[in-house]
Amino acid sequence: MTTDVINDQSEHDSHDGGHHDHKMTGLKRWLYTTNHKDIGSMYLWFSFIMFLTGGAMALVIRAELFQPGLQIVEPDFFNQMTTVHGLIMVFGAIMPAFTGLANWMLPMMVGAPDMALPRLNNWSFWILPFAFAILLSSFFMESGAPNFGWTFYAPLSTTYSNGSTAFFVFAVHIMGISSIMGAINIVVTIMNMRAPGMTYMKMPLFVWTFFITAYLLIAVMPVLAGTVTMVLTDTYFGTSFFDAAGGGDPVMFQHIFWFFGHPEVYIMILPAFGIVSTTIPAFSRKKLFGYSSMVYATASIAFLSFIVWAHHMFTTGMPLFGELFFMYCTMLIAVPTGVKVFNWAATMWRGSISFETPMLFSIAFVILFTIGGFSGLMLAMTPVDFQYHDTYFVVAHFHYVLVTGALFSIFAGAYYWLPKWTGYMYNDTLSKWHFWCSLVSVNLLFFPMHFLGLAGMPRRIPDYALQFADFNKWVSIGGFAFGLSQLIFLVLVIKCIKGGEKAPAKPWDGAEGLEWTVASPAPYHTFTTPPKID
Amino acid sequence: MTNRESQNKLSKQTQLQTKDASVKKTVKKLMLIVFGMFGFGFAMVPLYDVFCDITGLNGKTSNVAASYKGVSIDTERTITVQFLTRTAKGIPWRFEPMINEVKVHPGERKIVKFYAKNESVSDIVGQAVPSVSPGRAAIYFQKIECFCFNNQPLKASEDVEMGLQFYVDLDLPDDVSTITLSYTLYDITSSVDS
Amino acid sequence: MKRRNLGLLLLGSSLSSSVWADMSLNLTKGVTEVSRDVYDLHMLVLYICTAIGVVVFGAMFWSMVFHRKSKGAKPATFHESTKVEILWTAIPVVILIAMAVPATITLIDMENNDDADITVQVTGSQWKWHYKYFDQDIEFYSVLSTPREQYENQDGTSAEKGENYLLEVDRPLVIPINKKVRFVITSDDVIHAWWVPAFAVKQDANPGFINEAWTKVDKPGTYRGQCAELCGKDHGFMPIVVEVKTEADYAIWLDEQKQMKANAAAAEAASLTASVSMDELMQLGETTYTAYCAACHQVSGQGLPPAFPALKGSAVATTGPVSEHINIVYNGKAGTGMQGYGKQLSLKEIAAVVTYERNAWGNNTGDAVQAADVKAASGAAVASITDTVAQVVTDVKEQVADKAADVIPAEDLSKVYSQDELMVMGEKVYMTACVACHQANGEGMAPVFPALKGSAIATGDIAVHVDMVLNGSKKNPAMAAFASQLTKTQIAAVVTYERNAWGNNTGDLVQPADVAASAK
Repeated sequence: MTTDVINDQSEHDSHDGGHHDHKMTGLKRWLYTTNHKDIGSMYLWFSFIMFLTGGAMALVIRAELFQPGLQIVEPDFFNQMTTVHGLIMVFGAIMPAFTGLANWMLPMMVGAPDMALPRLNNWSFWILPFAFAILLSSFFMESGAPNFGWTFYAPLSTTYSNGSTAFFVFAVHIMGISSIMGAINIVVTIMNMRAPGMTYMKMPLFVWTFFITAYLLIAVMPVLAGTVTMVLTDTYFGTSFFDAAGGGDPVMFQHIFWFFGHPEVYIMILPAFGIVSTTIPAFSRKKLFGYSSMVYATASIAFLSFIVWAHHMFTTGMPLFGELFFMYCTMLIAVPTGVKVFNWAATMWRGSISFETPMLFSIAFVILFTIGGFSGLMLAMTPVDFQYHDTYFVVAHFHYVLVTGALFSIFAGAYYWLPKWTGYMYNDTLSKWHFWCSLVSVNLLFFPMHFLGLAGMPRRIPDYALQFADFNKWVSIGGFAFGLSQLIFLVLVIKCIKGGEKAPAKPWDGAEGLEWTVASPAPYHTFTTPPKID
Repeated sequence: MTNRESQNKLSKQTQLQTKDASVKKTVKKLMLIVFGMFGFGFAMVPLYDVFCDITGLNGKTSNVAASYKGVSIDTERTITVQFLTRTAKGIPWRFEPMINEVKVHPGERKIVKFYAKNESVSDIVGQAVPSVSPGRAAIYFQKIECFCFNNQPLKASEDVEMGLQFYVDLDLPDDVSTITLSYTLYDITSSVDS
Repeated sequence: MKRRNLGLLLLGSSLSSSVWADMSLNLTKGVTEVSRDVYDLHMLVLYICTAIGVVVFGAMFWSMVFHRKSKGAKPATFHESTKVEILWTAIPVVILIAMAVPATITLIDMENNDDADITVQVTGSQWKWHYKYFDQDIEFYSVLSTPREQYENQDGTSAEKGENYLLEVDRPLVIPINKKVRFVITSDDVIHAWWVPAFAVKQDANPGFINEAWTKVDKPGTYRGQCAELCGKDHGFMPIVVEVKTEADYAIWLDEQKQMKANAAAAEAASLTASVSMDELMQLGETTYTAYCAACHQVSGQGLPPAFPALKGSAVATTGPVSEHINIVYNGKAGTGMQGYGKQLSLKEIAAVVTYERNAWGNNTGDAVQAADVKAASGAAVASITDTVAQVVTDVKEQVADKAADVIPAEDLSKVYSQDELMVMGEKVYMTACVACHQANGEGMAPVFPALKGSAIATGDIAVHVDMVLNGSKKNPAMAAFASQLTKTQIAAVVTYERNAWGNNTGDLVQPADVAASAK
């Protein structure tokens, strides 16, 4: 299949000797494309649209929580909002954004002409919109959308579901298949398509993190598929995997789900590590400190992620030894994660630092992600987790990790490579506005949630006791500010695509990597002749 | 097309073919992992049960009868065994232990009775599901004979006294002195019928 | 700690408003030894994290300030150091061990559920809690008591919210101080979690399985918590309130509960013989419906399909048999969100709510359901609560019917009896019709069955006394009307007896004619 693509090429006067397809025009170009850059762009756009959709739902949640009492929505619709917000952000925004970055950058970083399986690549993207169409269509059904939380704990999602389970299950199946195909493509590309001379330990850390993430995906997405299948048969076909009446056990659901769920958390953060490990050295003008320990730390985090799942379940009534085991393993994760943070700090130490927007987002990432890591460490302590569990403290924790962590790293990556993608420099002032507005509002949004949680506000409630009113008001204001700030990014990207100052092949003087050896914008085909790595 | 170009193209093609083969190999291996992990998801169901049996996780007790060896009775220790019952939604049965708690010595056999009455106008099949707390005591709570091993059909207005014969294992950890046994009663008429 | 709170308060004061002061910014210290241990652990980790944060972020900010390109900093070339890397792997391990040790100790303590003084079975269901005291015969549901108008503000109007808005219940759990109270937690439907922050107790309620937790509170007071696991629509509306009382107060409370239970049982028994008018049924039905059913089936009866079906025009509430309707309300429906209300509502309330559902929203079936119908249709489950009392009442009725005939062969309202005749006859009647409740010595069984000996009724106004026996009590449903069960002569006799026995000695003689007069 790879040969087909290359045989179809006609000569083109691109300066790096690249070739050019008979590029189709209009919709067909995007429907039939097997080009990793096209597919990468589609992934990124799709994830941004999903990010805005999921964000709109978050704003409904924050509007309802602006003051005590039920003002805007019914509790059931509120639950639908929290559920679909979670699903969209996890499976629709963060994961596809990383896949998009992988598609765009991996082949260029390893010196390959394209992904190893370009048609599979097209397919894995194009089933995604259908998955989310199914999920979102449930809003217009009599049943309403899924309302059992993105964690879909049985039996709330089975016996007691509102009838949206089937839509949910099929949507998740398709998302899962898409992710698995994407992951297979990444692994195969990295294993087979590296330029001659690029040994594993010479790969950029970005490539390493995606390599390990892809393995995690391949290992756990099938488990998720199994879980949703069991939920489906429990709901509609009379099995009782999770129903005590038939000999099942609802707690088993949580074990299987979190066996997927915890590695999933790292699927959303390891690529972020890869991105900032690329940007921080570039803007510190100094090589990444401790490259090999970074690789080993990533691998050990990935390994540990398989044996900590039950720390999400301390209150389910685990035996003492189970609680201790999972507490110790979870605390252990702090070690490799700490190594990473120390390495980034050491990379900046005695560098020659400048503060372009990608660097700003990267620094914010390191600090805010670390705050999320601290609250994670607190949550790991079983006795204290009894107090934190299922409160806003947890909400604060995972939003620090996923918004100021994963999302900020994606912004850092986008600002870093945008000139390479579009061929134009973006508006620097706008990007700084985007950063500072996001930084201030995101902390106003999520930091007070720590206090709400400690004061005793449970998560996933549409209304709350009066003592939580003031903080919730500020959180809601922060939420709307953060949401609006993202529109700056949308404007900036559109402007940058339309034109602006021409970007040189390597706009950042400290940047390293093969992607900067090709022109900006990157030609449609790059590295049809593999580069030589010493 | 010049000669050199076509030669170039040929060598490129062979190169790509070998690459193609190794790609296929990798894909196959990865697909194996995918299917293996999908299977593993389901394998977790029996694995979980085995794990529960070994550790008493979640207070699950064995659903096969234990045989009473009756080697010795540890009269030094007295264990309080409490009985709780709960009827699930939609089962119009009265279901309660006839005695709230008993004191037993480890190794000693005890029989207690539970009372059930179908208070509806239709025939119903009930199934009691046991759960033991603390969970780690579950594996030491041995049921020689229990109504929960089988389902219990009751005609309309029929009642029954159901027996539970058990003993507490001699190896029960020292720091456990109270065991709570709870039964939740479910209506399984529809699944028995079909 | 104080200093830190001060800082946060300063931050807080800039945003402050009326209720600000009510919310603590930190984890609660709670009122148990365990909760204080947990709080200490929380502070320990918080301090350690803050210290690490200061060091790491400090280094980063130092580089940002002093190693910036704009200041002409030239980048160093080092990019690895095995020594440093081993060091910052090892130091965190040591810190982690220092944290794990106290955590393990606290955890072992928390998980020791043995040797409890009191055991309470806690059952969650959508969306209320049920408490059952293991060795006391007490059980009850605990439901949110914040009125609907306070939180349903979608139409723009909102009633003023009370102090404990969404954190108040109709019947709190009550436990004594300084006793180890063990909670055995389970659920009737989906997973809930029972959480009281002041005790540092949070345990999931899993359907079909039990979980344990314990507490030993050293300070009396009212402690509030909430369900902490998403359990469907009204997850945010199932608070937990625990009242911790001194041992003496707890004993008083236990007594009160037993009395209340007897009251309820008596009322239940009385309702079986009563025939309630349609108007009253509809009225009671509507209040009950709003409190218990409207959350799912909606005030409009249109439900939230498909999970919560409409009742308006539905087969169950219109064309279907009444008994099936009662059965669903009483026992719930397996495999759905519909729970059984048999243990939560009285027979009369269930009768009323079924009547209401069959006649509201244009259902207009005209069916009026009585408590007795509920009892018949739902099976004798009722008897489990009211067995004894119901038995007593039925027995009395039978006996009265049997024996009434031989006591007085024919009734002559104009006949005037002597005190002796009245007293002999009265004692006979009393011993069949009244003794079961008011006892042979006239001392009754307080509080449901009041004493007659020395009572205001039996020593006060004769007309009131006669009226009470003829028509029953309006306040206490346990006191039935005897007008149709006893002859006027018998009533005259029994009233005379009650007014002169046990030292009541009023000397009043009541003749059949007097009874006839007040019966008109």
